[in-house]
Amino acid sequence: MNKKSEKNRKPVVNSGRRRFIEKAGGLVTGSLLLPRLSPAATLIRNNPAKTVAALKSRVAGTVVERGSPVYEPWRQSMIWQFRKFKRYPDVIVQAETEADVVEAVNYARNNNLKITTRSGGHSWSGCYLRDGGVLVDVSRMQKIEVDTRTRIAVVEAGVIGRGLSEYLRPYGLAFPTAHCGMVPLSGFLLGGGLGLNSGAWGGMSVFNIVGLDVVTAEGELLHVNENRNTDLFWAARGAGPGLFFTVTRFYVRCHPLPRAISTDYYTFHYSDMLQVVEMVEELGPSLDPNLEVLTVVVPAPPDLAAQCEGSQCGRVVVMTAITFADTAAQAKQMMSPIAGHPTSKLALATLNSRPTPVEVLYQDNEGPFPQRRARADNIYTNNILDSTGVLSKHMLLSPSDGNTPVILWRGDLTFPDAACSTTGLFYLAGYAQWDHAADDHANQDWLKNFYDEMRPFASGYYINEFDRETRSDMTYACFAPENWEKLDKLRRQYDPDGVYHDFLSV
Amino acid sequence: MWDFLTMPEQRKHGTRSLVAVISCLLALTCIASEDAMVKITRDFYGAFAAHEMDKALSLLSPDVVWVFYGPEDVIDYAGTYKGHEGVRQFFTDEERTVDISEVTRDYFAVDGNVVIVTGRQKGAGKMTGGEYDVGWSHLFTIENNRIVKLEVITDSAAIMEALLPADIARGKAYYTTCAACHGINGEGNPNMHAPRLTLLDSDYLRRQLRNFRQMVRGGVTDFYGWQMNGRATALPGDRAIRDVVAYIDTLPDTYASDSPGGDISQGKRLYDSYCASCHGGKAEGIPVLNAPPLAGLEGWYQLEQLRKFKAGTRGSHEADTPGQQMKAAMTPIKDEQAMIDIVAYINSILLPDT
Repeated sequence: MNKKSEKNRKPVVNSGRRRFIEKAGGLVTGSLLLPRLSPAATLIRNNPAKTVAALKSRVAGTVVERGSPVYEPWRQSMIWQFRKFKRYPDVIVQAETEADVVEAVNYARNNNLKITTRSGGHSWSGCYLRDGGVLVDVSRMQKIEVDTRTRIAVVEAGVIGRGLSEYLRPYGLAFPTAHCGMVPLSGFLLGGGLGLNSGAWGGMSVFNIVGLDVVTAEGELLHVNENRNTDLFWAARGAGPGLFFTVTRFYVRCHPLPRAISTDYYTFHYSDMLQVVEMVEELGPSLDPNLEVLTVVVPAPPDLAAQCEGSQCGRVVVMTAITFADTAAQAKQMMSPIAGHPTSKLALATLNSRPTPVEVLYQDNEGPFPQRRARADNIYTNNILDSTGVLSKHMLLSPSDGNTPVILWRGDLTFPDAACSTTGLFYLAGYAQWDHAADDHANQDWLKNFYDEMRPFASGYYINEFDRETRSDMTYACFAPENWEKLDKLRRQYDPDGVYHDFLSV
Repeated sequence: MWDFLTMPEQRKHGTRSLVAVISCLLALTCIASEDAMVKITRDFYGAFAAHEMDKALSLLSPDVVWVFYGPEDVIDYAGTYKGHEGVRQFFTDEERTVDISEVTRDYFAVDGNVVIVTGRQKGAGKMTGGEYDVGWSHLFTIENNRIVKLEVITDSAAIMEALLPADIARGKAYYTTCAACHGINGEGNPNMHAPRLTLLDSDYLRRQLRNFRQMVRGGVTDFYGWQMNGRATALPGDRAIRDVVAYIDTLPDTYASDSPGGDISQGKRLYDSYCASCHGGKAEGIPVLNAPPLAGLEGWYQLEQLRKFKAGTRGSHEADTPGQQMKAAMTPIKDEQAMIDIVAYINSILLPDT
């Protein structure tokens, strides 16, 4: 054990004293934020598994090497969507415990294999799936506990968004998960996390992280927060798929669960798209931060298509205004600038004040996003009119009915100093979804052409929904230039031998 | 045993087929036109439809060569069979191996003295229950108005998958997609409306996974079902369904009582009147009726399913026969309280021995 690592290592706590409470159990207080670490884990790094067989005998989880008859079922099971990326790690380790992660990292380092980490596999580009190396799957690490006094939840790396939301609800707490509840938290948070009610809940969900437990390239277990291992804390908040360590546990600050979340829906003719975003841009700066304005383009419901006149009747523009309010009156007041705006009067259909607790928001968002073959791309922009013009043009060329853009008002946000550093007044994402491999190219080309034309209007990109397969040479643009440089410097400093795979490069 | 080549509607037309066979025999001395060759194959199928094996064989040359291309170590009826006895053996082997539920024929085409017929077949492995749905081509070579060769070209890989036993190690891989909601040991998570899987009957689990895959259950109006539609479809095929259910079957049974409250004696009255005839006097389930055991299932989960059947969110799809029965059985269950009482009763009598 060398001196340097000794200094950074967390105090050892007997794993038997872990205080994860059960579903129906009481509240946890006191030692919640004590680092926790099994004594076994600290011994591993001095005596790493040298072979796959040794690794298998030492981990509680599952180890599958390439060539195993069950390799392909395992490899494909790592991927959430139906497009199974043709990239092949040497070894897949599904960890049961933090000690398993340490074993996997040490095995990889000692065999000159690179590492990537996978939580729920919910990636548009399959960034965690690489040719060669060790894929560490942390999806089975699923414990949650919360301290209601400090509102800090400790969340293991395999938990999905809805799991956390449902866990917190009885305590009257909420967390800005992704808009689709099935999105696992780990990858979402580490890439920044454009979550629910972002205007009021941190701008990006990652800024609700107060600490993390990580396993470094050296196989060390560290607790990371704003005072300890600050470089890693800086990187963890946004570097996502380019991280050079594995996160096993998040310590996140939760928010009081708004008691009267409700939504207004305005459905417009496709040709009114520009006017809609113009209204959002005009009203945005004065809107309550607890109001989220999200505009989508979806296939026209039959009743509206029937009464539609002229061209462009196949799709409609739906603007939703979601208030994370505590009372109906408060919600109504937050909505009033939109409700009173002349553009809102153009709506073909309006639905006001529909109660939409988080569970219903998930339903609303997941309905149009089932598991299919999928890709995504995006820009942040300060030029909503020109970018929406491009969007409007390309949606009419879409080769699939499932292809959906989302326009989210972001406003003028500033972030703490962390890797996550790009933003813009609006976020414009494009999601391509289709069913058959034969249509892969048509949809890929469509999305690429669409976003090639968006580039002049980009103020930045959101790494988690950035098409890293077709634009891997532009990954730098997901970060502010100085942050990209710092990230590179930290990688060289903390993972000099490149034990961790860098950002996906296809 | 004749199902291999049977079209359901043709079973009704045995007489017509007989006429066809006779007229074909009369034409034996003629040089076969394309129409005549197609007719031989149709007659052949027709004879099968009429369960008239001798007549079917009479259309085959005594030296007929019958080939089913596929892995012979897994598909017992794959390989080459010769002569009429060989063909009889083929059908014996096939019948021992698979249950064929549906055969359709699409196209007949002729090239030289070969008639090519295409179609689809649905079936299941008899030992495994693994289901398959494959396209096929039959290549009939015809000489002197007799079939001298039949080659069956089909997706034998899919049939092979249906015949391979479920594999627990593969099942654990597939379970990765389940664990985030149903728990890493299948223990369930009421917070996420994800039932405990370990006490659910394996036949029932397979049937429901198939239902979710085929959109027979779930749909966008049934949010939790909708999530299952995605996850079940993510399983790469019917074999994966069997694999993951085999894995779930290895997980330790867990039990935690969670009665929704309610009036147990009233629940017993209702249960005995309306539920017991299918689910058994002790809710132990009656497999032949596709009625799963309810013993030990979580109260919240039972109640949620009863509500869905009552509302028609479940059991409305025409292909979900057991679900339709269950939906119909809910008619006399008048309200929420009655459902709660029934669940309370089931939970009260059926604590496992442990």
